[in-house]
Amino acid sequence: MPNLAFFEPIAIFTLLNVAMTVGLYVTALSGQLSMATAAIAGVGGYASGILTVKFGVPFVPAVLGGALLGGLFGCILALLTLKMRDFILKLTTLAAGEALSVLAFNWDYIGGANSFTGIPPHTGLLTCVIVAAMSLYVAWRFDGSRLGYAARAVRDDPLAAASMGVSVAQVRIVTFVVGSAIIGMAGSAQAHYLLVVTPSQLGFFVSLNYIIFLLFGGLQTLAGPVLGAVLLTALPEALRFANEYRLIVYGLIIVGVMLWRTDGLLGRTPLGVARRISGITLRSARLPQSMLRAEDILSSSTAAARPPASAVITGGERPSCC
Amino acid sequence: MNVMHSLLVRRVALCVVCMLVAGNRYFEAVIAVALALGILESLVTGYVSSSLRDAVAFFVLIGVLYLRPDGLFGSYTT
Repeated sequence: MPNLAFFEPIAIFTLLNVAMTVGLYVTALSGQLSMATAAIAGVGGYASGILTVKFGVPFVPAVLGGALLGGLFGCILALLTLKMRDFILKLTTLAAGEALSVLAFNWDYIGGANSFTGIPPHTGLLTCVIVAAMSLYVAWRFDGSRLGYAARAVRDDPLAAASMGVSVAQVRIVTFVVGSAIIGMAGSAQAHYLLVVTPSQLGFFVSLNYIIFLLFGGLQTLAGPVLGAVLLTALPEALRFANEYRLIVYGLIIVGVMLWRTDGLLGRTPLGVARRISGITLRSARLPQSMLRAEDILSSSTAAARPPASAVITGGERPSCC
Repeated sequence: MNVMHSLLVRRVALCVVCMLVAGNRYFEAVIAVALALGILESLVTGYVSSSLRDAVAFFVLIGVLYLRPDGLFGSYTT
């Protein structure tokens, strides 16, 4: 029996990563994959650190303050990226995260390049369990709510969703704020465990970890990000026998799994084998059969009504070349 | 390692910022934007604060894309 002191940090980081990835999942539910996760977590961490160190606020209000400020920052980001398309949106969130990192580097009040130190240790295993449970509960309720389905509609096709009476702007802002608040909460809990917040924690390469967790697990079901975060946080520890090659093996495993299941480990349909063995059916994001996607109906009807363009030109004959 | 990282990120990020700010309609626009961004960075370094130099590009990107999501000179497709 190995001693438990080795497992406690791993468990804490696993739970914090689960909370952050779930927050990212909520953000990505409406199709806006934020690349500023670490920046939002850092905002939460800085906020709760400053609140406890400089203003003497107790731990719980400080974490709530971190969540609030994270949500506020998410709201600003959502408003900024409201009109942008997919690719541009991702790069804008990336730029916002990097800009925050640069600002944190140069702001002496929050420590600057020397990091913000002296945060009192408050986070233990129990706190992390509570944080992860809270974020999972919020994400679970959000997932099955009317707003969650509206968010998926916006993700699949903003135009079709808007024509069905879904307010695209409102849905996008709400998902971003809820996700960012979860991330901010997890970030403040992490700050009280690491006891230091560094500007480089806000950078893109930290955010990339959470995106990998999310995409590895699959962003179709709530179980996906949880599984991804748990597996990929535990994996480098399980690979310790490989010494300096462990990160290479880690990367190879990620690539292999992504080749094997391109939608992530838990895609739209859960793993058939796991379901057969365990008898557990994970709740999937698929709509019931009666609610077919509007896009499918529209595209099939217009295709039938309108003759193909080649028929007009060549007198009904399809060109044989292509 | 860390220094290398941030330098690399900065190089790549500046290229991406120029590309997005200029839009993809005219490639001359990218050259112009790159020049203008460099001058702007130096001006900010001189007149405002040298610590803000790295953040200028990101603020320019966010500001321009907020006002014109297809870049300053428009996109090829629209």
